[in-house]
Amino acid sequence: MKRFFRLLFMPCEGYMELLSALMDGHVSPTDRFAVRLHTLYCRACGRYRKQILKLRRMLRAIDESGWTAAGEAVLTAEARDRILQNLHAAESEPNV
Amino acid sequence: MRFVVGSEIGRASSCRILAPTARERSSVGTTSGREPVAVAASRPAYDERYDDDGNDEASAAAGSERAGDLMHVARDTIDAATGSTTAPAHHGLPGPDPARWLAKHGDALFRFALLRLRDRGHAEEAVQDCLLAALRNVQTFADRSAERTWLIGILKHKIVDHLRRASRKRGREEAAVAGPAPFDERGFWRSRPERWIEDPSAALQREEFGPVLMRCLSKLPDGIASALVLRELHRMSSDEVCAILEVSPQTLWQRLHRARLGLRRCLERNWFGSSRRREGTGG
Repeated sequence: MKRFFRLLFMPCEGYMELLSALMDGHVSPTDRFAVRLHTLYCRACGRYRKQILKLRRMLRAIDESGWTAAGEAVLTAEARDRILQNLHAAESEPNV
Repeated sequence: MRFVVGSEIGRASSCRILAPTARERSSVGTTSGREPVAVAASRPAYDERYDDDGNDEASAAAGSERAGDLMHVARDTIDAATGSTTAPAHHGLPGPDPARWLAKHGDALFRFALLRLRDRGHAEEAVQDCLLAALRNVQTFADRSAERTWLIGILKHKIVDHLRRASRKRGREEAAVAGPAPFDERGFWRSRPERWIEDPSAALQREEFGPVLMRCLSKLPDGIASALVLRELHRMSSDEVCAILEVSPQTLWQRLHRARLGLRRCLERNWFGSSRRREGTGG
C-alpha cells in the first residue's frame, strides 16, 4: 500500500520507465495498475504509451522485409568480388 | 513491394522476471544494477495484454497457428518479389552454388543486415559469414523451405553473433542518446508528445519512410540499438537478449526505454509529428 502511494506521486519520467519495463518482462500488478491509472489522467503519458506500442508493432512487422526499410542499398562491386573470392576459397578447402 | 504484417504474430512471453523490490525499482532507470531478479513467473508481456485498443491479444496457441500462416505469406511474398520458387535447391542438382546465392540474394541479405547492424562494413561481413555458413551446412537445407528464407535464418544467427561480440568489446559503457532530454530535471515532460498524423504501420508501406527509419535507428548509440534490434526486430524474449548482451534485466529495461524515447522523438520530428521536418533527421 505504501509503495502504491509512493507510485502515485512519481513524476511522468518514472511512469514511462515503468511502462517500458512492463513491455519487457517486468511483472508487477501494482506497477501495471499505477501506470494504467496515470496514463488515463495524464494526456501526454497516455499519448506516449499509445505511440510506443504502435512503434513496437511497426518494428515487429518489418521482420523479413528489411530490404524495404533499408532503402535501395546494394552490395558494392568490391564487396561482391571479395565475398565471392572467400566463398571460392572456402569451397576449395578439403573439409567443406 | 509488400510488407508482411509480422505484428500479428502472437507470442507468449517467455520472460521469467519478478517484480523488483522497492530498492530495485528505484534502480530501474539507472544503469547501475546487476541485482538478481530472475524467478519463475509466466505472464504475457505488457503490450500483449493491453494493446492500444484495450484488446487482449491472441493466446499463444492461436498466435503460433497464425504465425504459421504468416510464414507462408512471408515466403510467398519473398518469392513473388524475387521470382524464386519454393522449389528444392540442391536435391537433384550437382551441388551448392554460392556464386548464384550471392547474385540472387546478396543485395536482399545485405539490406536485411544493414537495417540491423547499421554499418555497411559489418553488414557485408555478416553476408559473407552467412554464405560461408550456408556452404558448410548445405545439407540442412530442406526443400520445403525457400532458399532465401533459409539464408535469412542463417543471417539472423550471424547478426546475433555480431551483436554479441560487439557488446563484449564495448563493455558496460553507456552512450547517451543525442538531443535534448525529453524530461526536465523534475521528471516532467519538457516537450509533450505530439499528435501523430499517420499510423506507423501504414508508414511502412511508403517507400520514402524506409530511409527515415534507417537514419533514426542509426542515430541510436550501439548498445541501445542492439537491445532494440534483438528485442523488437528479432522478437527475442528479454531473457534471451540479456544473455546475448550479458546485461541484467534492469540494464536491458533502461536501454530499451532510452531506445524507445530516442526513436520515437526522431520519427516524430521527421515523419509522424504535425510539425515534422522531412528535409533532414535532426532529431
